[in-house]
Amino acid sequence: MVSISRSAGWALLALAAAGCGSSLTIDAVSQPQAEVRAAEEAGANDVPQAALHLKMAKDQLAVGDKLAADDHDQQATRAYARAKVDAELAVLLARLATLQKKSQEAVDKVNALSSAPPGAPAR
Amino acid sequence: MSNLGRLKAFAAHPLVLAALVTTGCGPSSPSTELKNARDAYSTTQRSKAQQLVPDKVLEAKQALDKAEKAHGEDPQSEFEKHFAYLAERRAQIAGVQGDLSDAEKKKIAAEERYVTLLDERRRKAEGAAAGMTGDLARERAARLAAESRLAAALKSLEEIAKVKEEARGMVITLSGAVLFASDKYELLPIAKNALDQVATALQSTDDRQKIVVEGYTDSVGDDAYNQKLSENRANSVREYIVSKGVAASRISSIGRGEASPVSDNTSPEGRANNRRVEIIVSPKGR
Repeated sequence: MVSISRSAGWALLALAAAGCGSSLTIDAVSQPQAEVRAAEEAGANDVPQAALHLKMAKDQLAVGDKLAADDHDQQATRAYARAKVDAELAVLLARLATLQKKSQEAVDKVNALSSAPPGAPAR
Repeated sequence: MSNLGRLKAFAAHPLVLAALVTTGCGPSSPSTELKNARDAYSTTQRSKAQQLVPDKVLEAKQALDKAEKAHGEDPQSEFEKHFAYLAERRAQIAGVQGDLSDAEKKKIAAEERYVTLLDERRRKAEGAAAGMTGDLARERAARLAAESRLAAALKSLEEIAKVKEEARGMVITLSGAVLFASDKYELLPIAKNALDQVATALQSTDDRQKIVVEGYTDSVGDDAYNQKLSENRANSVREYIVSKGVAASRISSIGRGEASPVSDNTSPEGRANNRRVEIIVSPKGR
């Protein structure tokens, strides 16, 4: 009986974790939307891997919107959560591409300066 | 009821089923999402993120733990897949943040290296320019000082010698009467005073300018004798000038005898003019 009681407790915990009885929050909807905008502003559409995750985020947003419209708040919340992490990843991938480009440019400048004759002007 | 029947009845009890499922004793193979999440986390753990952004890796670990827990509670469930999806992204996010941190460090290091290189080159260029400027300035100052000393020395020579510029160089002509007694080649005491001023003037000339001391006589007497006398007189002047500090390697002497008279040898005045020592300072660059 002890094991059965413990299993019942786990089941209750799982229900709580699933958001039973909770409703869709404003943050759950607005945060992924904000991240998607941030990804677009970071240039995610120009970076293939970032563009892929941006699309996934948008797809999940659309799924969330549909579920929310059908009053499936819990499922909608999860869809929005997935949209949020995909959009976050898209933002970071876009920033990484930009930063790596700048970093390479800085290294190229060092190499050019190192190999230039002493009197040559710095570029 | 047989043992098997009792077992089936027990297993069919809803609470037992729930226990089996929630404790992970049911179908336990992970979902594709969970496998992906585990792989992603493993990759991130081996990446630079572990050292550069450990807090983000910890977040990924916590997300994966949540997915594992969901898997343990309800394998292959929507929850497991959902949390595994989030965990995979958290692991990827941690990995990218590690890459971002690494790229930022490299960029900063390259920029600092660039600034350092530029500073080094500027210091070298400034040092070279300063050295060049200093050398030029010193050379110019030295040249001006030498020219000034030479001008002053030549000015003082005007009282005892004739100085004029010719094609062969600057010619300082000293009267033989000032330098030597008749028929002698030893310098008179008064000649030494005059030659001191000449030596001062010569020291003010460029070290690269050659100096030739030429001795001349009048036409009175034997040619060979006059030749020898002129050689000895030129050499006397040379040795004295050298003794005053003019480099011996710069200065040579030669006897011209009766050659190249500057005046008529028929008059005492003319002959006096012909008895002379000429000191020729070659033009610069020769």
